[in-house]
Amino acid sequence: MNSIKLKKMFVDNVALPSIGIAFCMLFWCFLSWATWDESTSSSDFPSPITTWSDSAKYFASPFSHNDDEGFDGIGLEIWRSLKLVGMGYGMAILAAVPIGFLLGGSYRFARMFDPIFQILRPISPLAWFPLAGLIVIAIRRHNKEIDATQLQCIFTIAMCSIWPTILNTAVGVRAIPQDYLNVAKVLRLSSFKLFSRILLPATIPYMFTGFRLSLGIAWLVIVAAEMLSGKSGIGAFVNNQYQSGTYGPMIAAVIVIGLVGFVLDRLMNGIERNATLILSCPSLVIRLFQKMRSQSSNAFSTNESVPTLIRKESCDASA
Amino acid sequence: MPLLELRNVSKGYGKGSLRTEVLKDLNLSIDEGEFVAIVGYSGTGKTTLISALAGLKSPDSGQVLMQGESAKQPGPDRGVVFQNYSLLPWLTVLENILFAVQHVLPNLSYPEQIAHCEKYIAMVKLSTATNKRPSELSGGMRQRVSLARTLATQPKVLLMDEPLSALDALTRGTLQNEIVSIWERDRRTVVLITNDVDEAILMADRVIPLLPGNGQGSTLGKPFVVEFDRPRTRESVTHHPAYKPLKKAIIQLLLSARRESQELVAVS
Ligand SMILES: Nc1ncnc2c1ncn2[C@@H]1O[C@H](COP(=O)(O)OP(=O)(O)OP(=O)(O)O)[C@@H](O)[C@H]1O
Ligand SMILES: [Mg+2]
Repeated sequence: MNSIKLKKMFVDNVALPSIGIAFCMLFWCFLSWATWDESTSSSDFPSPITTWSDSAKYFASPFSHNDDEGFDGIGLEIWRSLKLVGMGYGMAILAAVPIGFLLGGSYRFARMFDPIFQILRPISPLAWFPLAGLIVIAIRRHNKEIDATQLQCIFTIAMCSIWPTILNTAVGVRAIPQDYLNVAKVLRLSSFKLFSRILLPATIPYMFTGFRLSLGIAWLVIVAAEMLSGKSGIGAFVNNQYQSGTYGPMIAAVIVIGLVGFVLDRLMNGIERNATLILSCPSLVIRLFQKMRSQSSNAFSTNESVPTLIRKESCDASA
Repeated sequence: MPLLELRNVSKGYGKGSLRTEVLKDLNLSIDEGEFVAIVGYSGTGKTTLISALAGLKSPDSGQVLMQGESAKQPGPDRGVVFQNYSLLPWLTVLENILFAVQHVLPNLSYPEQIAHCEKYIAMVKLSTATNKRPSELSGGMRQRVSLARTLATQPKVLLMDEPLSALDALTRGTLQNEIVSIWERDRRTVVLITNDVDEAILMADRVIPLLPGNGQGSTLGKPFVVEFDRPRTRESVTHHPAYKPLKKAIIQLLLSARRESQELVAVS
């Protein structure tokens, strides 16, 4: 039984994906063979081996500045991009959650803003970028310290990645069963408690789906934004290599972009599936408390440490 | 003064040609400490009636009075055991009950609140499931959690919407006895909705049939007073000479009302 399972795991997770990768490598080799240029005796599309040998220096010490040679490691470029993604994405979800609650919870708000959202949502990051630039110009008039292109990237990311979280949160709010609201009504919960103890936990699974989709979009957008701004980060790296005709490092960087996106998605997927774990934190505290109490009552061997009830008129727990 | 009162309450759903009348001109008064059972077939508007009593649905006309005062808003003084349990799935059994208890009894210290919850969990015999989530429980266990949650908030009136309908006959019997003995100990006012005439007779002081009214809304029939001595057990009740005639009369009334309403619908 167990060895069969192990074998299946090996086939599913190692063998079959490897075959797929091998096919892609073959296609890549074919592509560079087909674009072979006799006059320069090199391929227009570098082969995997050339790609690696050309770009190895960027991978050798990925997180170091190489000022004297004039280039930075690829890890450093990725890290710069991730920082911008983090800021733009953070801004986006912080704004998206309350907007999503309003959109899902208030009929009037939905009537007012749903059409606008439907129009803003399909706007491409390439179109947001110049718009974000206008705002940055205005901000820089008051504060010259600010890095304009970074801010422009952050705004673009925020505007593009905000939508999945807004829409998913709204769907989650609308999907809350009437039953939960009836419980809240009978207990006469205050609106704060209604929100924090019922609406929020009931919507969290939907919200996390939104978070995952938003992060995917944020990563798509950063590369585009950095290509336009062209200063630093992995998107700028790709653009610079392209402009200077060193295609090996460019291809390597594109692959790294894909890998980072994949890792981010896996990460968010894990968090999303454990979203309910966040909700169970209070139960862990309660369980710890119960354990402590049962231990202390054992220690005294009487029930003195068990708190006695004030409300004596209520019934006893006899069978 | 009755504790809870309905005056000329009518309620329907929908508008225009889609309009269905559910309750028509109901009058009901429930005294403090009384155990009232309302029996009716599926779809006669029992849940609608209990929602009106709880203040969850406001009647189209008529009044709901609690101790003589209009009671439009729901509140913890009228605890409801919902037909579909209405437990919060992300909380464990203990937390579901604690959630209600913390809100209703905020003056107790935290250990006291937990002890209070545990007492009611033990009462419905779920101590082994204290830290389980609703998804890990059977339907009957969920219903017991729902019952414990409402009992733990110590409402003035306990409104129960078919609290035992999802249980098998055996568990149902034990819980019927359990609810009756809980009630006999502290004489809370109870309105029990049920579709089981035996259950109503075993538990209640008064059995009121809810009769379907040929598409114009259900009405309450004349109440049957159950005068069997307490504490009652299933045996003492079923062997009582008055039991069989009483049960027969109630079922007759329910059946004939249904037949009439069906005939009228067929004719029209
Ligand atoms: N929210 C609603 N909107 C429209 N119609 C409703 C609504 N709730 C109930 N009804 C209708 O009112 C009638 C009575 O429903 P209700 O749920 O009160 O019946 P019930 O006696 O509790 O039935 P059961 O024994 O199956 O629980 C039904 O015909 C139902 O279709
Ligand atoms: Mg019902």
